[in-house]
Amino acid sequence: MSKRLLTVYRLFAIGLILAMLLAVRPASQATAQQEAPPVLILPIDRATFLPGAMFDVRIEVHADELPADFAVTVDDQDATKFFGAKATEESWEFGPEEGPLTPVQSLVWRELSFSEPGDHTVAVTAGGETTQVTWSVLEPQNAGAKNVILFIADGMSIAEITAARMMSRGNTEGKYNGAFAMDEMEEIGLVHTSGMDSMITDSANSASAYNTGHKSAVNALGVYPDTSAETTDDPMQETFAEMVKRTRDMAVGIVTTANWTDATPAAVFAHTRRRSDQNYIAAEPLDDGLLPEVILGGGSRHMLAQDTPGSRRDDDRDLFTEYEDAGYTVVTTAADMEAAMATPPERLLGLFHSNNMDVWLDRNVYTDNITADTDQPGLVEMTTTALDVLNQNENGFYLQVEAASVDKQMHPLDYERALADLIEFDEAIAAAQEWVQANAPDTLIVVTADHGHGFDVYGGVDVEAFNAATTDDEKRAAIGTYADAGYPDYVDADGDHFPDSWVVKRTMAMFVNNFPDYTEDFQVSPVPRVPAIPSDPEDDSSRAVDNPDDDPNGIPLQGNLPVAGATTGVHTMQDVPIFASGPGAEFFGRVMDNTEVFFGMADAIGLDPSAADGLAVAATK
Amino acid sequence: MRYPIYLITILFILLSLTLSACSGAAASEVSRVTPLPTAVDATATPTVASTPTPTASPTLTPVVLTTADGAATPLPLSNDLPEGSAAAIAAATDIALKPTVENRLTFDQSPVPIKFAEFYEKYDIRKGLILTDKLVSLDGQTVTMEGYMAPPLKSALDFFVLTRVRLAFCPFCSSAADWPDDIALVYLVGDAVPVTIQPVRVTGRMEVGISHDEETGMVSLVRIYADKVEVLQ
Repeated sequence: MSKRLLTVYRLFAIGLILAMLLAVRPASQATAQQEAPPVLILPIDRATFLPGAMFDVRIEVHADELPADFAVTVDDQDATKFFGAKATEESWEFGPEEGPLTPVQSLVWRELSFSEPGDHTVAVTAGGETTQVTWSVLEPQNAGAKNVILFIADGMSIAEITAARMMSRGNTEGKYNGAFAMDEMEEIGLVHTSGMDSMITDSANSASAYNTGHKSAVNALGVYPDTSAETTDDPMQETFAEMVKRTRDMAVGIVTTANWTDATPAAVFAHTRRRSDQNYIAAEPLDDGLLPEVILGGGSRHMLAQDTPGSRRDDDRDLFTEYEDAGYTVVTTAADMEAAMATPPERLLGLFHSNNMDVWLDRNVYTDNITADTDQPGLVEMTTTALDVLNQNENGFYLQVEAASVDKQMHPLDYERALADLIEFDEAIAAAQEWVQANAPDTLIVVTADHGHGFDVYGGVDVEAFNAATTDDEKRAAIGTYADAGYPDYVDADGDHFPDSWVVKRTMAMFVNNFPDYTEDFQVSPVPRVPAIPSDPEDDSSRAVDNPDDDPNGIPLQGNLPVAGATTGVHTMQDVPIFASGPGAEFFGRVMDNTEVFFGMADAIGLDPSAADGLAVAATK
Repeated sequence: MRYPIYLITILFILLSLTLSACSGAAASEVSRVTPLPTAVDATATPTVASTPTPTASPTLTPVVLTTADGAATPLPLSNDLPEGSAAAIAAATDIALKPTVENRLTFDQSPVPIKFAEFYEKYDIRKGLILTDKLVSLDGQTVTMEGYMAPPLKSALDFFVLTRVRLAFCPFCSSAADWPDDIALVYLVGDAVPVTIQPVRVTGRMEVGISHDEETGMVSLVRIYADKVEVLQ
């Protein structure tokens, strides 16, 4: 690891620990001794579990040695006795490069589980002070679903859906001329997205919450973050996919338009403190034995042995061959994928790009921007292909589908590229709904985002007037608000739900609430957008300045992000929408924490990992 | 440590070498010229030789040594680099993979112009970047290339990374994922050259093949031992 990164992680870890300690202290039974060392208990206070779900426990005491009175109890019983296992003792130091380093004494228990529902209090006494957390093991439910499909549009907010619907369906006299597939689902709710370290989440943290039912921190997947520098020793939480495979022998599928080892898809199976460990993540299914029946997306560069030109691996493993040896049919083009489905394989690995797949707008309109030499399938084909493979398993399946580039294009303020991928996301939902209707009505479909971007539309822009204007004031006069906003004139004559042309006379005044210094012309960019660049090309943390090549005709906007290094927009805090249809959908018709999404999916299929067959009591309906 | 490839390694090398390197070297090899509009593109249409001819082979044949476990380990082309960071980096490489060329090309001029766009046939999902016959045939030949210096960490260099486009970001500072494939590592045979953001033309002997240094983890595919670096204005 680079020292710079290490320092960042260490500083982050310190901040995280301090924050957690502050949060925990008031609940602790303070008995005076000032020397009591800081204590960290993972899982955190108010963590929730399914009975039988596997998890690790880590206790950290930040001291040179464990105090003489050190004790860990669960429900007032010695922890070793309660867990039926002795902890492994570990120690390390952490802190900033320049010091001082904090010594850590730690106990870790691996692969524990609770057999029964109920609450448990874990108490750690050290230096005369007791720190305690309470965990709740919830009662499994069963709504009678057989399969679960979780759709995640990365970075999708309600306003993005609204703008995409305006582009896709059009609106006449205030009424939309059609609805999105997600609009017509049975239930809608809101999801809180904050993580344990920050009110603003990243995609690893949030997808981890959906897949494990536990909070985590920015950059972490399937683990609680401890303070050790090692990124793969953090206490793990079993994922939904691991549980349904281990206890029910269900099939698991991952579909994404990103690297398949990127944060959101990796959250299905990965356990690491650092989402950028993509080489490690690419081999994890092979090494851990959770082999998803379907993997479709990009990211072949993390599969090639290091001596292969274009590889990003740092070892000699040829993962394509290893996956083939593990029984996968490997495809690399849309045509090959279709051909392979003549007889659906048991396991399908389809990677169509060295990195993130190209976005809809570039694949279909601005094709000069395509960065792959292969014909790439779209999200719709990948989704229905995955369903056809997964449905061969009579025990049911869990499929997670991600539209990754809604987020990846919203970051550089490339709104048309983001919204086109959002429309494609909705097309994939429509295709899945149709497939479910025809093939497996006992399927829960959940549609959500993992976090939002501060996007909205505040008016309409007369493009001709804007482009003819010679001053910034004249350009701003071309932006109509309220009654002068009017409607954009996107046309979808061919009925494919995408605008026939992205160059229109009247566009929407689209913006996000956080941005660098940049210029905005409110028109589709024929090349992928780079709104701002570092002022010092030798230093990517230098002041971010407007990119003179991007929207040179636009109005200059004074940024409101930190000036150092922030060349693109960032995630925001807002709750994100969640939609659901099918057995168990009613769970989602409310406001909830992101960790609850896991339990909604579990309850839908009656997942009880403590039962011999992994099945909760008979379906409640 | 899960970060592959060379850039973080190069960062370390740069950082460590920056401390010791003499940066005051005269830039006598740099000449400022106005590029001819088609100077690099126009010439040297390669012809396919029906069979490889002795003259088409690299003039400097890699020495093949046998390691303890019996595997053949080709070494890089010999170099006469002056003492400095370039020599240190060049010495740290050993060619682990040397591409074989099926249709070896001969060239009717020297130096042979080559562009980054001529490096790769395509990206094959399973085989990675497929090198062009032209690139592979140029192993050991004198070439001339145009590109940009990747933003370095010091003001005068005896090696640098040549890139197809001007990189806004210091590639040594960002993650491996952001490092483009269109690069060549340039070792300066002559004196150090000052950093420039202008396009440069590099002339020198090309070495092709994945070079992987066990100790530093540095990986590069194309290297040029440059006799001459011209700044294009």
